[in-house]
Amino acid sequence: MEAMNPTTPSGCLCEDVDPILDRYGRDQGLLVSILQDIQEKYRYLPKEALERVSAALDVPMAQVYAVATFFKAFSLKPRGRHVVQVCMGTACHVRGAPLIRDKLERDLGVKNGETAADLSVTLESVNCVGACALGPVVVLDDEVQGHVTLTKVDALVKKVRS
Amino acid sequence: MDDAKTITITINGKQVQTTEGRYLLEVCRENGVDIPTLCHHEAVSPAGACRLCAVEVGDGKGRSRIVASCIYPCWDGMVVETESPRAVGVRRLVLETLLARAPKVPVIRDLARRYGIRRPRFPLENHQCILCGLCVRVCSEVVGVHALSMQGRGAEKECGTPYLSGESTCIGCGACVYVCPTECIHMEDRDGVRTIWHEDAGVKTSVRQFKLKYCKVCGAPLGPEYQLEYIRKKVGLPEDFHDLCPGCRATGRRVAATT
Ligand code: SF4
Ligand code: SF4
Ligand code: FES
Ligand code: FES
Repeated sequence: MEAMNPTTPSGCLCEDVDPILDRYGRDQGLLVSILQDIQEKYRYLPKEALERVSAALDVPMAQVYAVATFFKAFSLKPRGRHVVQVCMGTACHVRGAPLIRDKLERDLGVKNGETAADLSVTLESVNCVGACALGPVVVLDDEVQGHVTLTKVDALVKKVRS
Repeated sequence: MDDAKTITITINGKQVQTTEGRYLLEVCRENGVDIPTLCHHEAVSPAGACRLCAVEVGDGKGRSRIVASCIYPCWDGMVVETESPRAVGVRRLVLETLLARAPKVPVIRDLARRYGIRRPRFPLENHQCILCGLCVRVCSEVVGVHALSMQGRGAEKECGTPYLSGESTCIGCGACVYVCPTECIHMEDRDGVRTIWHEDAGVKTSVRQFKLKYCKVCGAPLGPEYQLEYIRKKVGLPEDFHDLCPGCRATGRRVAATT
């Protein structure tokens, strides 16, 4: 999986970004799709990439930035190779989600909403992933884990660490 | 527009003629009817961001609704009430939320007082920026520089330069400072440097600095170097155009003419 390879961007990123731009015919109207592909490539939107998009599409940087910050799906900060999402929706909350979150914070060594310095993992909370009956729910790299217990957290952490 | 149709609308019981599709706020103001606004400015396109300009619009047959007059196009036969209990109620609610967001801002306080609001029911915050977007629109539509934008969404929305950093396309003209209704954009010229920044809830962001240029003869301040250069290139003026202030330039011409 491409997302498994850590990519630490540097320089202007034209080499990576230009093919994406070309794929969409450098069409200003497809800005969101372009950003989506860049996000997929780097797991976040690097500043240099946004600058390249702005220049190539002739869209002011302020506008590109506004779009990039508007959608929750985009991240302006680097994200980890693994993403752990703890559901804090009502159903999961009453079934002990805060305990799960606290344990994940401790065991992964990252605060909720943050990414480990070595980019190994990002921990974040989400509000209801639509699997309330399985609560408390943790989503590890897009895979929903139901009925999470503190022992199950150990297994999840091991998976992240491996 | 050739196909502009003349229509008749009723504002607070008075019939007035106007052109179909014009924005209601303008028409009301032209007819001496005042409606408070915060995100409106003649120089830029309306955005409908603050909702303070709410008025009641009816079809004259008993059906009516609340609209934001600054972005509402006029239609034939509409009946407008700017001071109906419903319209005033909506404006009060808008002001109540604004006062909760920005309780220390003079314009908001004055408006709230005018509408009889003392203490909002909502928890008080400490913002100055009311997210009206005027600075953003002035910078893109009037100055043409697009240095600012509204960023994020919901409760985290804020305005400023990309990454709220000093690195931006801003030319230091100060138009946004002038247009901001709550005075949360600041400008200071000191020691040959102009600084412009946004300040909200005690946090300075988007701090941008510009070297100022002075007249080579009399030393009068001319403006930020970068801005003068931007204008010079845009208008196609000679390279030394901004070396002198207009006064010294005129004197120079007179001297040249007499010698
Ligand atoms: S000072 Fe800068 S941000 Fe403000 S209107 Fe002028 S160019 Fe735009
Ligand atoms: S800084 Fe001023 S002009 Fe800009 S959005 Fe905030 S209140 Fe409006
Ligand atoms: S509340 Fe957690 S999935 Fe719905
Ligand atoms: S003036 Fe109409 S919404 Fe702000």
